Amino acid sequence: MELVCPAGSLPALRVAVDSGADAVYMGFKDDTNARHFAGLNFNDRKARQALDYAIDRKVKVFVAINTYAQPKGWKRWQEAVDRAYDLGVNALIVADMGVLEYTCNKYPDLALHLSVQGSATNHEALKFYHQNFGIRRAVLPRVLSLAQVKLAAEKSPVDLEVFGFGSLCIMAEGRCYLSSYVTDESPNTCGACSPAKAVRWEETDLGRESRLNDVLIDRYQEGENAGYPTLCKGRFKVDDHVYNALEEPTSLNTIRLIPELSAAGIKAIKLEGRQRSPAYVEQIVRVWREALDTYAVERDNFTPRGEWLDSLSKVSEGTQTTLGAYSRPWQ
Amino acid sequence: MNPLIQKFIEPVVSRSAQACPFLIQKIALEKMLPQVFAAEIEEGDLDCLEGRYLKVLVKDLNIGWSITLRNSLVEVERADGDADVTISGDAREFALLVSRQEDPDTLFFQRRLTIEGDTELGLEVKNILDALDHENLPFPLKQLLESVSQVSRFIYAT
Amino acid sequence: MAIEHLGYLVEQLNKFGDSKPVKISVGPILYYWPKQQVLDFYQQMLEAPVDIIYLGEAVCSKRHELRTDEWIELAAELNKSGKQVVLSTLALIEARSELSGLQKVCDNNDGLLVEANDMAAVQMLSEQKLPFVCGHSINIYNAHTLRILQQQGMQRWVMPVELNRETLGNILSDAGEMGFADQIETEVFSYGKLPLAYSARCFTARMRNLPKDDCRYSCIDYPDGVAMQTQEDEKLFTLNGIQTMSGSCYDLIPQVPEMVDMGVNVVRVSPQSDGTEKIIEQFREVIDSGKSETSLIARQHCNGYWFGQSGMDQVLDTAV
Repeated sequence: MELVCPAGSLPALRVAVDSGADAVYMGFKDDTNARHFAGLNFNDRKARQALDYAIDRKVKVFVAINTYAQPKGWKRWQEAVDRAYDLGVNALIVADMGVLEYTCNKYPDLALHLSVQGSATNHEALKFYHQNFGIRRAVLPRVLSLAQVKLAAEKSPVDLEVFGFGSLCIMAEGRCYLSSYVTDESPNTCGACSPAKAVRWEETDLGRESRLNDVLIDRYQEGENAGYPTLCKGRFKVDDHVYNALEEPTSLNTIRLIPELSAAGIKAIKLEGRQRSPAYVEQIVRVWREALDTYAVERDNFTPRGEWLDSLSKVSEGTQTTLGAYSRPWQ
Repeated sequence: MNPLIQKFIEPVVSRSAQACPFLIQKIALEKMLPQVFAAEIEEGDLDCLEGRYLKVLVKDLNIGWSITLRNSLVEVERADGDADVTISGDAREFALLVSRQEDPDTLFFQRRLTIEGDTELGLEVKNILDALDHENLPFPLKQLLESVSQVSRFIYAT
Repeated sequence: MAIEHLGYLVEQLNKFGDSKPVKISVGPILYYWPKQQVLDFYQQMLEAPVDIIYLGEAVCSKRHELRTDEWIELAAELNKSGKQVVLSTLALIEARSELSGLQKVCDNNDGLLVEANDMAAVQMLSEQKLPFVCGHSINIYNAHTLRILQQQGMQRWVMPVELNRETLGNILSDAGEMGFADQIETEVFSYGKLPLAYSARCFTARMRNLPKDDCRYSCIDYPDGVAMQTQEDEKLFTLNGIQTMSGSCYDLIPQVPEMVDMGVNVVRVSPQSDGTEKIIEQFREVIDSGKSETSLIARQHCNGYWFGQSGMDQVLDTAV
């Protein structure tokens, strides 16, 4: 399985390449990608350097243009596609049908991957994107169980990529507006979930409070790990009980499913975290490289090593990991 | 962690840092930072700090600075005034962060670093730090960073 | 450019202004109600001044008070009333059984129109060259996407709920320039708790410490979902099985005249357990009189999305 690794900056891209990535994915410095954060991503000069570095080392580069183009910004999405083509990237990761159509009409040779933001959760949806835009690969949303991944893989007309590690979206990606309900930005429209401009942390007598556009998302007591105030991971009140009503702040970690994912015919594993630092990228890529290499020789008795799990847990949100929808308690 | 060495070194660093007059700190930082961030300043990546204050507080050493940009020139002031965003933590955390041995989000999730005030500005600065190309730093700075990295690896090895 | 757009809008207004009055639709019941309550509700809807009835399970495939065949049967029955009846489908389709249920709805023998809420439905319907409606969970954010779907057989689209009036205006004027605006109808989710997200988890089961597999159909105890507040008792979301909805009710009654001016063809009212027919009557009054006197602020509802703000915001529209 191909290891697809995040790069939010040039140093992150370099360590991903050096630590054993088969492919890296990145975005431009605007709202055409789903990690549109200040100070992150690549301008033209850095993108060129990134491409040169990766190609020299035979590592593929994918560019994410995976937000939804709106009429006022349509040109920006077109230009992002043109720019990526001119750079000579290996594939584009796209969600919007309009952008998919534009790309496959103008650059029929450019490989298209359907972004997780495209929200295709079954083979019929995959068929639509394949027939209409000739996509070659799709990234499956993190809401599917292993059985559902297998079902999709069995009948999919295109290669499939699944998330191996990183921040966990518990909602079907591309169809979650929690962020824009509370702030005015969502992943679909602006490439931001809980945009930093709306986030405030404050140390108060009641603990460390995290707020999103003034709405209290959580309150952490001394010694409790804190999370980024994404709405799905806050503690709220339902029926007078205060708890993580939607999900705990945990990270997805599927390292022990490597044999099953491989047997299901999954072609690539994606690691999440373009917003994270080079240190994070180095740690997770190194562990996953080792895990995949180990699996290649120990096919029949693969067990994840304790030290892999430890170093992945350390960089996780909430320092816990979960199998997410792959696991029974979710089903 | 190497508690013995830490116990020995920290008070020394702390005392020398506090003993160093602010003016010397200011001159040193105002000379060093523009070199570290030369490309970022030139490309306008640091415009977010133009006229806005980033306060860095090293709690255990009891030192701190307010950093701003004025017409693309770095200015360092005392940390006693208001700032747009304040990042605070212990020396160890900053050393691990600057030398890229620890991921800032991890430090933050574990509450070893605190960001208060304008989160967007704080995260932007964090991202710029992450994107900083250590390869292209002037040699003495690269060496300094390397020493920080080695010393912190030695003292704070986890 | 802007002037051309304006010219186009005026042209559309003249074309549609009188000949095609805006229609009222009632969306699918997003909650889980006992069968009798569902049947009673649709009897009421036959009497109510609605033009289009959407029905079917759009949230969770485990809900079985009415099974797929029963929904189709009910739809066929209602279709005799002269109102347009549309079969709604699931928004999140993952399991084999969900795909086969969807296929059954798409293949219905009564020739009923289907609302696709997932691209799987779009695929099944377009493959059979059947006309369809795209619900609000199909991501249509620009006129290029709209045209792709129109060419696949889409007759009507429901705007994604997070979009605002400016984007809608731009999409429609782009569609005009691209020459297909008159071949589609535009529908806007105009009243009710907003569907905001779909998950693999069931939050209603979770609140009862039950696994999703053994949810004991908990949703049936909450005919309008479960309120979720912040720790400071601020109303935030509504839990509805695997769906997360807004805490406040979205309310565009005051904006109906504006929507008509923009060329919106259908306004959707999302059912609630009580008083849906009164809401429909209010819409009818505003449509017939051409002006709105209802005050949103007094009702504690939200409308931020329409104005390009946070969805939960309440914006006092000075134009009303």
